Amino acid sequence: MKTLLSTFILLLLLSSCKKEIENVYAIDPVYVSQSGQKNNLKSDLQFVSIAYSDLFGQQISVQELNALLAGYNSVGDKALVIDLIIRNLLVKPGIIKSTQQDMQNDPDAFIDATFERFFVREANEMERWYFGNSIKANSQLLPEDIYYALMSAEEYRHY
Amino acid sequence: MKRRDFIRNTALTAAGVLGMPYILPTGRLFAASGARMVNHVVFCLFAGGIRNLESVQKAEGNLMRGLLNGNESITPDIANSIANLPAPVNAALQGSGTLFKQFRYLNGPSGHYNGHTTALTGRYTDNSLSLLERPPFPTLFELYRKHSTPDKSALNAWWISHTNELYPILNYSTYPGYGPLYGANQLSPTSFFSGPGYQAFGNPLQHNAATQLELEKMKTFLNGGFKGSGSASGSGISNPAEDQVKIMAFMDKMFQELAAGQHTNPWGLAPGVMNGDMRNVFYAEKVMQEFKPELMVVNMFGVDVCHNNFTNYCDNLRRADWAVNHLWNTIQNTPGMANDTVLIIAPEIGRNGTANSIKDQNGRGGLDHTTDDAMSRELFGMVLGPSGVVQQNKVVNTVYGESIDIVPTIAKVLGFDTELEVTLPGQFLQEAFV
Repeated sequence: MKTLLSTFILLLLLSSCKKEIENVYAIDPVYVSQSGQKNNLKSDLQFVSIAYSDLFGQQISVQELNALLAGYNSVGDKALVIDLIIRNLLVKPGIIKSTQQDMQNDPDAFIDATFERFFVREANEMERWYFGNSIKANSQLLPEDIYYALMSAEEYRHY
Repeated sequence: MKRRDFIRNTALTAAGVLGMPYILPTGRLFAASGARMVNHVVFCLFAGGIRNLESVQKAEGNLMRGLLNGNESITPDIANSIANLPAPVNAALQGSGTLFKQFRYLNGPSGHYNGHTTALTGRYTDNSLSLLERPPFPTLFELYRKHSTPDKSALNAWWISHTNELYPILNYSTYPGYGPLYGANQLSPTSFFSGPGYQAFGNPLQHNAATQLELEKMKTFLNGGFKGSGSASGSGISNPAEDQVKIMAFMDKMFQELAAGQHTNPWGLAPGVMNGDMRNVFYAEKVMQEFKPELMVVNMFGVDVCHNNFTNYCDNLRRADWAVNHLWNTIQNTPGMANDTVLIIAPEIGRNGTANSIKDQNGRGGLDHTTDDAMSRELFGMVLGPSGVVQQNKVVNTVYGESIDIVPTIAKVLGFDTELEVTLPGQFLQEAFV
């Protein structure tokens, strides 16, 4: 009789009130902690599209993409033409960039933001130290020069 | 060990090392003897499909006064519909070499891509050739770069193609042991050095030497720490950094000249006369003047308009002819290449004997090029060069020479024929040489 009563109470508890589960969906920033986790080479089309998005914060237009690809297909040395694409994009009006003064005033913040933007990961201590020193030692360096260095690196060709 | 003994032993060891036979990657001892005839070859693929009737047989008069002797007047209806061109800058080129009037494209489909592939690999193709894939056999460029001694950089091998579609991939093959490592620098200048090209590529971020050095250090630092797999340099040929700098400087110069209007009508022709073929040859000349390559191939294509306009075909034939005459003039006025260059000229395919149903403004029928038509396999060929090397003012009227003979001929002229690891089916065009 005691067992039967306990079972009844347990069933009552389980069925009486059910906590409402609230599902929240959001996108948290996910940083790749190490560059070694990028093992896939971007296709050239992906590379051009992503480079444009990273610099301008918007998708490349079909017209601009076609112009870049026409040039890309016109030159046999693809590394050379990719470099030309990057350097030409970096001088176009409309790219989102820090000022040189901001970069000089707070190199760490600039380096963190730049690594997150182009490498989609945090800069490690060594990188922060290396780029911080370079920025302090070379007053003529512009933010777009640092962007160029990152965009020319092997890591930027991978995802 | 006494100092004197040490010095003697070191000297003997050094002498021994220097005197030891050097085993090349190809497996042979010592470098090739490299018995070259000249140090530069330019191959002009007079492409797009040309019948011997309109070229060397002059059925419509002499439409090629830049290449061929003679003042045969042009058929009146054609003459009234074609551009006014000045006289060629040089005398007719046949005086500076050997003309083959019965050259042949003997086998394989008579399509443009097949014809190009045959001319650049020295092998006939069949229906299995894909238009979207690189040639299955080594190209002339790869043979030259792999088997020349000393090694040749891609700055010495250029493929100047009239378009950036399809044809650029002829700069190297998929053949095992060859490929991009030995490919040519390919450039489609009429697409690249253009208005849209200038907008996209003509104003790059520039760095002074100090900044450039700093950025290179940064790149090295970043690459050193990157452990991802796959290399970004896997697509296409790759020039060494110092050669890339030279090519970029050349491109910058071209864009500056373009922006300054210097490329609008560089040959001073009547407005609108300079067509795509002429522009392609113009930029080939620029590459030649800048890099003095040992091997350059440039093609033209304007005559293919013949599918639907015979009169314009004749017009473009004249313009292409004028351009090749100009090319030879530039070769002879370029220090380092003058009197040290062989120029080979040949179409890739012919055209059909009978017209299709498309009539042009003069009621002339268009001409296709189909595999089963014998006339689409009849070509001409021309070899020009210094008088001590090439037979001057010679005409070969009999059937002699094929498309597949061009690669082995260039191999012998540039002295790498004896080094080839693959057997080529064609023959050296002996009749053209002294």
